[in-house]
Amino acid sequence: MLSLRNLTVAIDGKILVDNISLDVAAGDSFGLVGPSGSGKSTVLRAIAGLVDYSGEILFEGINMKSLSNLERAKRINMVFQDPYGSMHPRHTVARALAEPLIIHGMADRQERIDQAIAEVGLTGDLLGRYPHQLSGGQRQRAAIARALILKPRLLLLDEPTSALDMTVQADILDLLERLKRTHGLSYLLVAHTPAIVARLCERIGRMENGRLIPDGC
Amino acid sequence: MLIDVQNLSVRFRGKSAVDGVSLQLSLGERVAIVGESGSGKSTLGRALLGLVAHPGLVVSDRLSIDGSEMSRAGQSDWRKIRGRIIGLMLQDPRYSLHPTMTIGQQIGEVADRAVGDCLAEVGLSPDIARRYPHQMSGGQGQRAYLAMALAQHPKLLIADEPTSALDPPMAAQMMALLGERMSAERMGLLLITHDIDLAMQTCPRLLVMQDGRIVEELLQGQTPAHPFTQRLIQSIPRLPC
Repeated sequence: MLSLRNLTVAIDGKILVDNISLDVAAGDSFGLVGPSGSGKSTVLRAIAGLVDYSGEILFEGINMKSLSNLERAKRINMVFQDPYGSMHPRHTVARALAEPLIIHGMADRQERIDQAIAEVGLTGDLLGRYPHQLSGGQRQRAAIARALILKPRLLLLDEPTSALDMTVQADILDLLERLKRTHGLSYLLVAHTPAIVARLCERIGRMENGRLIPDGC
Repeated sequence: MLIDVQNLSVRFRGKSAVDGVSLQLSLGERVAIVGESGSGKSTLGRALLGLVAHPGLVVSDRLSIDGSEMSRAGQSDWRKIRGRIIGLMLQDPRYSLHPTMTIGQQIGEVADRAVGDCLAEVGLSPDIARRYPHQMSGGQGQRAYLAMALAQHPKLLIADEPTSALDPPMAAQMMALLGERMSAERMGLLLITHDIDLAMQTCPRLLVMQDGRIVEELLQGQTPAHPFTQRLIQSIPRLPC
């Protein structure tokens, strides 16, 4: 489903991702582990179209560079480490969820929002709240709902639980595991803790200094 | 007894962040306070340093630190405790170090010996003294902060999430360094963390906090009885193989 071919990212002459190739089959998930600064998050950012790269990123055979932002968002979405920083502070949850649907001209908006919110285990009364009125776990659930609202097939998860308490982390991992099973979703997951990657991913690769060292559990 | 606290509560506008906590710490002891965000663990740590700010209200039957009764103490009394009797280390050195002073200036303000020696004790090279906090990695910043805390030879270090801003290899190095320095300085540790795994690895005695109360005291090797402690332990991510 997802193929990276000789992916290289250089910013200001510094090579952050160094000639990486990897494949993720539909329904499979791949975990990237490695120390801070090893380039894990930059790989996700390249796939999400947030940084320039050389090499090829193919999604279901289509070169990502030939896709518009709109077309990319329907296929691939991203969940960041800290939803405080990734959700608009002055938009309610309802507005955060409605925005992608409006941009993509979807008709049955309320129905989709209700479904997305139920799927991540939030109640409808939270729709009117702003990010700062949610707990860390609720905020991350809202961010996952937003990432899922266009029904993408691949989620890019960048340390999705490392800003959370241990018990909340366990709940979010349960949720991600269930969504993967029920929707046939694939994840490309970046995490520090191998035990977290092992829960969600069939395959693991370790990154060091921008290079991918194939590993496995 | 270095710390002897009876029935301590901290209230913010009528709401109790810490609710009737009693706590004893011997000299050189290592104890962890474990709990989730909002459980009151950091507020308890701050109360032991006289750092609960307005409108917070600290009340207790006893708040004895190194033999001095502090429940009615003013800020000038607390200043004799802070740094010298009890040191404090926070989560993120980007916020706990002074941003416009070099590391050498900051350590030099409190140290009774050469700054280079203080840095060497925490595994930093002497040229770090010339750097500003933003010129260092998170791990270096945290080491520099520890060097500053140790420069005053406190009897106890309160470390509030000292590793949660670091990645796991750096966190492990930091905890190893803390353990080594504490043994060398015969210093006690009060570790405040949400990570019960880290707490159990570091401290022989754990106090589990929930909603401002200590719900369980757990000694090394004991089986947790309280459902909340059991849930914390179940939440530790584990490798299947």
